[in-house]
Amino acid sequence: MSTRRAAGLRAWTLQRISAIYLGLFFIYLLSHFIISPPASFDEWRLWVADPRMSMALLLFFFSLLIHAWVGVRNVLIDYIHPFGLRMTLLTLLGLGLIAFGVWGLQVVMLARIA
Amino acid sequence: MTTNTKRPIHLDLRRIRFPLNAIASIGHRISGVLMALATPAAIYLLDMSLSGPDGFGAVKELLHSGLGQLGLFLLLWAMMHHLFAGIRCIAIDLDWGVEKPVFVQTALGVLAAAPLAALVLWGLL
Repeated sequence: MSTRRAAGLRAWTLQRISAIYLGLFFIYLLSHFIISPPASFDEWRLWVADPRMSMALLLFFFSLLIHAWVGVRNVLIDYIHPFGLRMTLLTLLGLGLIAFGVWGLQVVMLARIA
Repeated sequence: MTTNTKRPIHLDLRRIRFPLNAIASIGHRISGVLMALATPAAIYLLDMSLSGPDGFGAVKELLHSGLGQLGLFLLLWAMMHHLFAGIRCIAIDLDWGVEKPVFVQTALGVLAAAPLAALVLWGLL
């Protein structure tokens, strides 16, 4: 896909789109926890299990994975120069982020069927 | 497109000067890496809080403990810095605040507003 001219443009765009969703959703989350913090387990679980909330949370996790991948990848490429170490860390980052994504998906889905 | 390979590139943190905008910028990175590292802990807490009334109570207690409150404040600070620095970054992409002195003023704004906003949110939460 990438010609040298456009190299990095996709990462740049993804970083900004994910940033806007993450920022807006984070503001919503903070407002919710300040205005009406969950008083009981049932209230908390029902809030997460609400289909709109579940969807918004999963989108949040997905945006977070993309955002963290682009961001931490940039940091690693800037500061880690030995090729083998850089590749190892990038691989661990990618696998770790996928694992967190699956874990988050599981937590939200389990809250829905509980 | 040709690249001038002779331009001086060095990312040696000991050789780089750190004016305000550089501090805001490195803070953007540090806060991002910090939050990335905190992600597994956050999912773990979410998992525990949704595991049942006991887990919910345990997470609530943990967040209200001294260590939990400290962690919460640091993460809020990181979050606010990252959010404000990110908004500044997008503004610069849109050609707003690219020139001095606005460029430096907004950097100072990010550095000062982040801990203040974190403190206010920390008090409210």
